[in-house]
Amino acid sequence: MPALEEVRRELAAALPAAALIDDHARLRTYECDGLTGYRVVPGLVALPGTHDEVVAAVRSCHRNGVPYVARGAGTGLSGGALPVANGIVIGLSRMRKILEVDTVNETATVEPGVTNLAISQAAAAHGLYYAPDPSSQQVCTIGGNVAENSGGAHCLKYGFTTHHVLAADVVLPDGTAARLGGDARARDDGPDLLGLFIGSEGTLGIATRITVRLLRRPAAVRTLLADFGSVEEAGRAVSGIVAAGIVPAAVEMMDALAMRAAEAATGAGFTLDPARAAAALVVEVDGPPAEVEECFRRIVAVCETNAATRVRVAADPEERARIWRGRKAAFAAMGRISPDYFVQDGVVPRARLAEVLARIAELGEAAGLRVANVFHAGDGNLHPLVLYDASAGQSEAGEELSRRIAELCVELGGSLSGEHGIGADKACSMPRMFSETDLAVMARVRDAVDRDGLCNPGKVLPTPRLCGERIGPYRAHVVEEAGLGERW
Amino acid sequence: MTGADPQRPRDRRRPVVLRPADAGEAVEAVLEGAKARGRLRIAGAGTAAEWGGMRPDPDAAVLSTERLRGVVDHQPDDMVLVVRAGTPLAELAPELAAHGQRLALDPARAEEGATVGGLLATADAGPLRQLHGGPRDLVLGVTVVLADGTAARSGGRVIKNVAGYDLAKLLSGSLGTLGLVVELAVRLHPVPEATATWAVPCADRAALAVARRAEAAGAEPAAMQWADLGDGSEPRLLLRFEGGEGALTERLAAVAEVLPAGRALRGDAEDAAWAATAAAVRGGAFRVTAAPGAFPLVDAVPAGTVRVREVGGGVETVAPGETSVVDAYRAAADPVGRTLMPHRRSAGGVVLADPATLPVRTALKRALDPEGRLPGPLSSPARFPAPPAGRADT
Ligand SMILES: Cc1cc2nc3c(=O)[nH]c(=O)nc-3n(C[C@H](O)[C@H](O)[C@H](O)COP(=O)(O)OP(=O)(O)OC[C@H]3O[C@@H](n4cnc5c(N)ncnc54)[C@H](O)[C@@H]3O)c2cc1C
Ligand SMILES: Cc1cc2nc3c(=O)[nH]c(=O)nc-3n(C[C@H](O)[C@H](O)[C@H](O)COP(=O)(O)OP(=O)(O)OC[C@H]3O[C@@H](n4cnc5c(N)ncnc54)[C@H](O)[C@@H]3O)c2cc1C
Repeated sequence: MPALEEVRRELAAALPAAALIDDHARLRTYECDGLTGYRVVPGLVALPGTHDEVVAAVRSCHRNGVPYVARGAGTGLSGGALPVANGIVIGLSRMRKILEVDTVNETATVEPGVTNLAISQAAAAHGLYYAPDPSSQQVCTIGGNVAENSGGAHCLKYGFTTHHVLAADVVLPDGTAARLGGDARARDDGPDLLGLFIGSEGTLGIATRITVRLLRRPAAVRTLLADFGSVEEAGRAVSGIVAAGIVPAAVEMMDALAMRAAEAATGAGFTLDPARAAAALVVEVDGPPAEVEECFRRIVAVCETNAATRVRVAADPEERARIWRGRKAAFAAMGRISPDYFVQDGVVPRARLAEVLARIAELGEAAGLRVANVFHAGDGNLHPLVLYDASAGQSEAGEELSRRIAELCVELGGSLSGEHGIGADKACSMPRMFSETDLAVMARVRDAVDRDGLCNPGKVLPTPRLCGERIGPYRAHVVEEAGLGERW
Repeated sequence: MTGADPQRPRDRRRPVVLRPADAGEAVEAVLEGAKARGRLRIAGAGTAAEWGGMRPDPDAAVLSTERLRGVVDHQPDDMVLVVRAGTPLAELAPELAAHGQRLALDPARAEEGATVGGLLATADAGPLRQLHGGPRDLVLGVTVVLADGTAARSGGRVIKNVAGYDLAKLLSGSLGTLGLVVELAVRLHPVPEATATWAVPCADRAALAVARRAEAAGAEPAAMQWADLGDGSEPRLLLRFEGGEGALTERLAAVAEVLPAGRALRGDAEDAAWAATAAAVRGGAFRVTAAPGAFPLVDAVPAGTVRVREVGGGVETVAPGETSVVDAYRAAADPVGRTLMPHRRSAGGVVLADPATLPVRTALKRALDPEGRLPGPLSSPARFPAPPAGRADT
């Protein structure tokens, strides 16, 4: 506690009074992110307004051995911005200046608290936009996107955050600052430190200035909504599009439950008859007009081969916008059909979509809980929503089912997380995906950058304190697997 | 495995070359090499031997990737490939093409047998970077063997994955200083039905503006390269388009309208144009990166200087690299954000984008190679050329 007092005293001198929060009621606003099941009230919140104030805050924490957690908009879904008790939260929400839109180099340089959508808005006048588009883009910050390597519906063709960030000024855990990345997309700077930083969930430093690439708006865009009589058929259609070598801008899937919720919220025009529309795909193609037409024709053919019951093509930009509003509102709309729900995030190889959806349905049935699916199907990135009723005592069963679904993804050759991150939520599941040695090497990397273990501790990697003395069982080590491969 | 001759373990003159064929053998090779010589050196096909401007340590045990070869797993329906690191890209291409797929990298070195692992280790890519980025953008997961014999994996085999630290990024550009990549999972893309190139005569300073006109016309070039081949031929901009015949006709029409001074190259003429610039890149002495709009970095270069620039990627390869040219480019690469990577020893040491990253680079090197067995800042004897004035150097 005296260490925290010291930080409070130092920051009171370094930051404006309004930038420090230490009354309990206001501290509680920072106790959790979008994963509201985990809550810790921080000892202090600092809201620096400049790079130098971030440096001052990190130095003070470093000097006094006080842990700290960076925070953007707090929309994270894995507890990445969960505070540490007696630690401080460094909130970047006051750093929201768009520093430059460079139309020659087609980049934008912004402060970390700028929202994802604000970048595209600032670039729009020049026919440019920032491609990664998480559904939370109106609120989430670019700093949070960088920390999570966030994705979005259009990342199938254009790539994730890591493919779009050119440089970041980072305050490292020892309080020094460095620019990671460089001015060019070609990176030729020895080991790619920026690449390591992106997706490190705020554990390797705090980004204070970020330069992103902007893309030119495509000449033509076409969107269709295809209904299928079963989830498996829709899954097969996705695999069919991928296998045909078509790379649409987006392929999203919603099942009947998700459509019911989204329709109630937005009136997007989804088919509400589960017999005809157990699932629907939103497929979007963009590029030069003739090419878009050609791709579109092939996609319709794949949908028909997989027994689509209806293919509706958006007739105008308005109809297209309506379909996307329906899709993007789906998470939030779950409240209309269930008192509580968990959002899961896992990835499977795209050829196994139909299989995983069938297995998820079985798991749900066995647990006596409903699971809605609305997700980035083209990437194989599932977002099963486990619906439950806390007041009926279903929380534990819901949590257990959600965890089993993530682990099922790993079993099928996929990943524990496609975009929401590991955070505090899944650290203890990491041994399902990685061996003890894999995780030990990751820990070496982390410790090299954050020697004192003060930068967002307790996230990403499992620790005995977090997961119990016996972490595991671990996945087999690579060399063991190679050995087995040879023996059989 | 061929290795140190057990009869003469102390013979420093005799090269120790280890050729593991899988992760398990790689672990043994690393331990055996370290025992025999203390220091290790990773060699792929040897197409970038002088990159980084370093002199290979003749006493180090060589870890050759030549037997780390072949496809481990190809899921054509998922467009994902797992391949051993020593597989030459050129060997892989026909195998993938049979499925209508490719690893969307076209580095000039591919023709010389550059390996997939070596390409990641050198962060090398060709003009297709415009559309697909470099190796770091296509690698989904890696298995690496560190110099202490630790084998570890990061990433996965799916195209989207954020679980854990992305060690593939650290190995990108690591030039054999952090660990031996033994296996990579990569994302594949469809081979385009056809390609066409629009060649426009174009002065150095105009290259970016001209390329942007084609982009603004909605033609979406897959590659944009400006080259002065230094042979007296007129410098020109090559814009490559990919797609079905219908799409190509559309794209060429769009670009012809905004850049009427150019002409379409198809078939052999197209291949020859790109082969000529690739050859020029292979002969490069060094390469620089900077914001696309910062080029030309150097006002005047002597006649006969070869320059090949990826206009959108912001990278230029230069030859032959007389001292005066190297010095001028070094000075131009000084501001934070720009880099210079020597491809010939004569071009000196690496210029990092920001020297302030050195302490964290050193800490990472120490964490992954604590004994300093691989080349790099901790190897003994240190083999770095003197840092150029004002700039740190690794
Ligand atoms: C309705 C809804 C929809 C969503 N849809 C998507 C989606 O489609 N795709 C997707 O990928 N995610 C999605 N998310 C998750 C979330 O929006 C993203 O993870 C987002 O990037 C978090 O940004 P944030 O600013 O809210 O960060 P926070 O939640 O505040 O923080 C997230 C992590 O980033 C770190 N951090 C924040 N700022 C910085 C900084 N400047 N430097 C270093 N570290 C920092 C924090 O320490 C924490 O670990 C969704 C969330 C919600 C609630
Ligand atoms: C910052 C820096 C420091 C250096 N320090 C030294 C030094 O102290 N001493 C020294 O002798 N050399 C040093 N080098 C040079 C480098 O190690 C040599 O380029 C290499 O030894 C030559 O290998 P090659 O001929 O096989 O090239 P290639 O086979 O073409 O390979 C190119 C590069 O990729 C690496 N590589 C190839 N395959 C793999 C793989 N599967 N996994 C990991 N890496 C792979 C190689 O080591 C090489 O660096 C340094 C380079 C840099 C950039």
